[in-house]
Amino acid sequence: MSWLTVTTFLPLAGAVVLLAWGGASDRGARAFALGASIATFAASLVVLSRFDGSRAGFQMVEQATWVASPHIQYILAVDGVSLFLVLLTAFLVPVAVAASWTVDRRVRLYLATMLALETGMIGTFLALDLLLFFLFFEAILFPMYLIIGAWGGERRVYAAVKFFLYTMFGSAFLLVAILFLYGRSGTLPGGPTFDVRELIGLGITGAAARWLFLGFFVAFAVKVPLFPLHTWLPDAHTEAPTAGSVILAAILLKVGAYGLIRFNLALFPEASRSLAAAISVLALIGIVYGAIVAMMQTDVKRLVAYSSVSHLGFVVLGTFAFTLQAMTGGVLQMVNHGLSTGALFLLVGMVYERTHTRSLSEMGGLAAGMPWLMGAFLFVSLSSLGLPGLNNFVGEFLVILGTLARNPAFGAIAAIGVVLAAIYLLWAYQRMAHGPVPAKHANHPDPSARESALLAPVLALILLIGVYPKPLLDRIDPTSSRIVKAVDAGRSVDAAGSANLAAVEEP
Amino acid sequence: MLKSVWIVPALPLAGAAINLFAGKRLGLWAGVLASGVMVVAFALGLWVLADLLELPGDERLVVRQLWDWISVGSFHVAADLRLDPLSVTMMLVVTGVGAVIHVYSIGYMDGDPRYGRFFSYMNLFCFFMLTLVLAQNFLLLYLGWEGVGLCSYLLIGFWFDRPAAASAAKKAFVVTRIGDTFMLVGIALVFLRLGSLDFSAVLRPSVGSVQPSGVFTVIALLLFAGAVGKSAQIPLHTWLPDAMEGPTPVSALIHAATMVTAGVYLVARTHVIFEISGVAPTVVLVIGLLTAVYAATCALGQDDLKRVLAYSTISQLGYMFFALGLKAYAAALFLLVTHAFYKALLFLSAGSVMHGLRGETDLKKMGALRRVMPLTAAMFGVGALAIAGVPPLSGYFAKDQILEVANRSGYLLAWLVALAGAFLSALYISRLMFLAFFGQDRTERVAHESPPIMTVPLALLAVGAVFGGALGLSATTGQLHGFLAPVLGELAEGSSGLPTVALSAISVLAALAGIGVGWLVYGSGRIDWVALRVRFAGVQRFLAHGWYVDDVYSTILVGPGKAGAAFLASKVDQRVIDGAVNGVGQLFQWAASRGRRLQTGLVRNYGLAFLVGVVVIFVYVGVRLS
Repeated sequence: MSWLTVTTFLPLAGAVVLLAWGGASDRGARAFALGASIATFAASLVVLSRFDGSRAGFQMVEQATWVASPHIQYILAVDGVSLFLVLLTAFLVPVAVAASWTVDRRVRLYLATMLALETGMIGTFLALDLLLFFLFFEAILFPMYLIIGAWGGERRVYAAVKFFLYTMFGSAFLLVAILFLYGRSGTLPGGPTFDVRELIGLGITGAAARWLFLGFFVAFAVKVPLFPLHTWLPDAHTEAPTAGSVILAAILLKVGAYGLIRFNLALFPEASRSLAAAISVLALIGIVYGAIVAMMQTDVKRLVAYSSVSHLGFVVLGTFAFTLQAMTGGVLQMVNHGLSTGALFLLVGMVYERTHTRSLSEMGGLAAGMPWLMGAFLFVSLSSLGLPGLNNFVGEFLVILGTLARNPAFGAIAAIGVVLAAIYLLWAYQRMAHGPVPAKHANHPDPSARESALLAPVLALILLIGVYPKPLLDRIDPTSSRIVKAVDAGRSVDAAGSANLAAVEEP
Repeated sequence: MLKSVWIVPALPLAGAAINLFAGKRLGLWAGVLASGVMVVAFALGLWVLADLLELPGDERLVVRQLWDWISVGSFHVAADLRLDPLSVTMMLVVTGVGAVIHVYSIGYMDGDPRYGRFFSYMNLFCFFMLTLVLAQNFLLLYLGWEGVGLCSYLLIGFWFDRPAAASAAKKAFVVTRIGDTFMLVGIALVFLRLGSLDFSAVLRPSVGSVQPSGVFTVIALLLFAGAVGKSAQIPLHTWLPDAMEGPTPVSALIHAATMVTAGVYLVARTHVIFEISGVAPTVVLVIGLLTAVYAATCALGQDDLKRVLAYSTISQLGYMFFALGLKAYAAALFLLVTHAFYKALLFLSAGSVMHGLRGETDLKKMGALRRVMPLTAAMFGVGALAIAGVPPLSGYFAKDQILEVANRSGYLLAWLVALAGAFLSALYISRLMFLAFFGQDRTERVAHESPPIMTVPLALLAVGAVFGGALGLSATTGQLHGFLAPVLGELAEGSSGLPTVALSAISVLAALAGIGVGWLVYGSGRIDWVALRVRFAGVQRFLAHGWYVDDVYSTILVGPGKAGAAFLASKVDQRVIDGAVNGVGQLFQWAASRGRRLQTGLVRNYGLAFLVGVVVIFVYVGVRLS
């Protein structure tokens, strides 16, 4: 069976059924959507079980010609970079659906949009044909726009339009670059193609490569978002409904980082090398700047949004350090950020449903009345600030280690982000949870059974990956090793360079 | 038992989990359970010690491999536990003193609405502390290191409805994290330059041949920065006095006996790296000595019972680093062990006082407490004599050895300064003793003696404080020193210096002088110390504020830092960056509105237009290319 296709299109099928099911009650629609997304997660687990962790290349390739001329193909495949992003998506959509129980306007349309969005995201991570990728990439945009614009907060229209235009702006460059590549691909032995695996063979270098690189880069940098292209994010997050924020932070941002690895590094290794320093500097600015700006936010959602700018800086830094440890750490960090920030938005949503405010100045003392909810918040904050034993530490440390090996100054600056994360997260937590309890916050309930059930798996994964990341690292490793070798041919990819422990071995 | 040593940290972890989820239902049993696991862990620790002692001296190293933690390419870190004399010594301190403090807390925390949660955090702390001292590699040590920091955060802020407690908790975490981050970079460098994070691979004298000594200096100083934060040394000491906002058993366990000594343990554990560096031990020595004397002067100016003890702890930790800088590692560990006894004793006695006075900590509102709380007063007295360095109590031996090594190593100036610090230590502790337990009764509340569940643990610690010195009667032939020698090496014989008897006499004189002055001013009744305070109010405030270090940090770091951050957030991000984006957006909107009527207001029209556009482009491109 074509499990990648099943995983990709099962949610869309669910969305179609939901839309067609005119008489569905809200309850029925929710149950159906949850079932469809859980089925998708099950399908993704089949993909995981069939994935050969020891192999570096693409696996489970499904290939068919879609349009003969221009030569567009339907190619889905998975490798160590995309595997866990697909799993993360399939894992978090049911959580997001369960978190949307409180959405009560046009429920069916909302859930169908959410499922359609899932197909777009999974397809983006699996498509190897550039045009197919672009279609999926754009297919994310519209449902997300709808979710923010139709089910969002007060300034939802501004935020949605900003989000839409901002990312469309990037996409325009991407499309031009893709079409240019197709134009060049006629010289390939197989004839013109959008197949990224064959396009690598073009070996484009020089100024052309740098321009194409930038075409891809702008589109992905907006999504990441990389400083200074980040200002759509706080607005989109603030106005999106809880599940929208979760999906946005956990998965949509990863599309950008994933694109950088999958396309920029693979297609333009030479340009990647020559631009790596500049991009790393932007990533470092993002790490420090995002953290500093996060510190000063009084709206919890904006705070978490800026923390994403800081955290995604680590991913990009790791991607462009070109060492095995940094690359693997960066890929792992995509998953970790998805879990931790996704969980943070879930919790912020739960707090909002109780207190009806996102403003830190109107909170305080919440831990007294809601020890478990605030305990979970602290737990996730600790993960986010890189406490060892929880997931983020593993990725962040590998990125810092791998970056230090290549450029000590970059590694050291990145480490500043670790201190700043502690400041903005614990300060926010103090303003939320500590202090005397105001009367208006004295009687909020702790998480309900539904809320506990949707939080528990996320929190469990946060702990599990922190203590035993091996199942992930082992499967990411071969692929990231291959990618780094391809980009940085001829140089040592392993962070351990100068030490020769053999010399220390006693006779 | 050597192979099953993982049970020792696993016990408090299990206790923490049970009390976290079921602590409310367990009621008072939560405390019993938490104490029980600590007692069992201590017993198992003794068993481990017995097993280890059966091995020949140079073979006392057992590594228990648990699982692979992080492994990428040549980078490999496992969850492995290491048993050697140093880690076992620390394990026994943590479980032994920890067990006593847990028992004491059963009484002290009785009636707290979050009783179960308290014991959960305390157990969790012990788990992380045991992980820290038993780790076989740098990264697992770092896990314990951050974990104890977390528990310190949770317990300082245990009464989080008090804003001061919440702020102190955050401050403790953030300030220590500054040091920790240097340490993390140091750990990364250990791997990058020395090729492994495993203690057995890296911590060998022959490792010096791998890299030039400058590399070791950088690594050693980065690691030491972590120690400076965790052990509250200058310039990262400011969090510890504030940490006294936590319940007093927490101050005893975390902020006196165990966690704050982690830095001492780290330097002792990695002393090979420090020694190859050459420069690093001198830095350790200077920081330690400065901190020892500085904090002792601050302790003199405190009116809060617990803050005196907090500064005293900073000072004592300074002495430990001073010893480490002198390469007298075993002497530092000896002081660490004895200090764990007498400082825990002092804190728990202070807790007993607070318990009797319903939370009062102001020395100005105490006095003559020995009449109502004779047992507590006696126990506090034992701790005070120990820390002052009066023979034959444990503190005397520990401090005397360090002073002796300083003298023999030729650091005469350092020796004199350390001696002055010893005088100050005796002075501040006798001031505390006389103000709280002697003189006039200035209490505003009716005091009472504490129940046996609290006083019996005091007695146990007092036994340690009195007889702990027997563990190491001499810097060269002490039992503890001999036990630790395979890990920490033998002390190099100093060439110069005064004879031992003379040195001992001098340090005893310094202690007695301190006590004498303390008695004269605060105990004899001949001097009006209240008038003295008024007369030297400036000095008093200077010392009370810890030489205004915290105020300076607030003024030059925190204030401008916040202002700069606010500028970035409100001006740069909102106006400049987002302003540019909105400007571009408005430009496009303007252009678009002129071109076509886009403002239909229907989302599906936008989508349709978009789809049509994409299709048109594809068709066009397809025609062009084919």
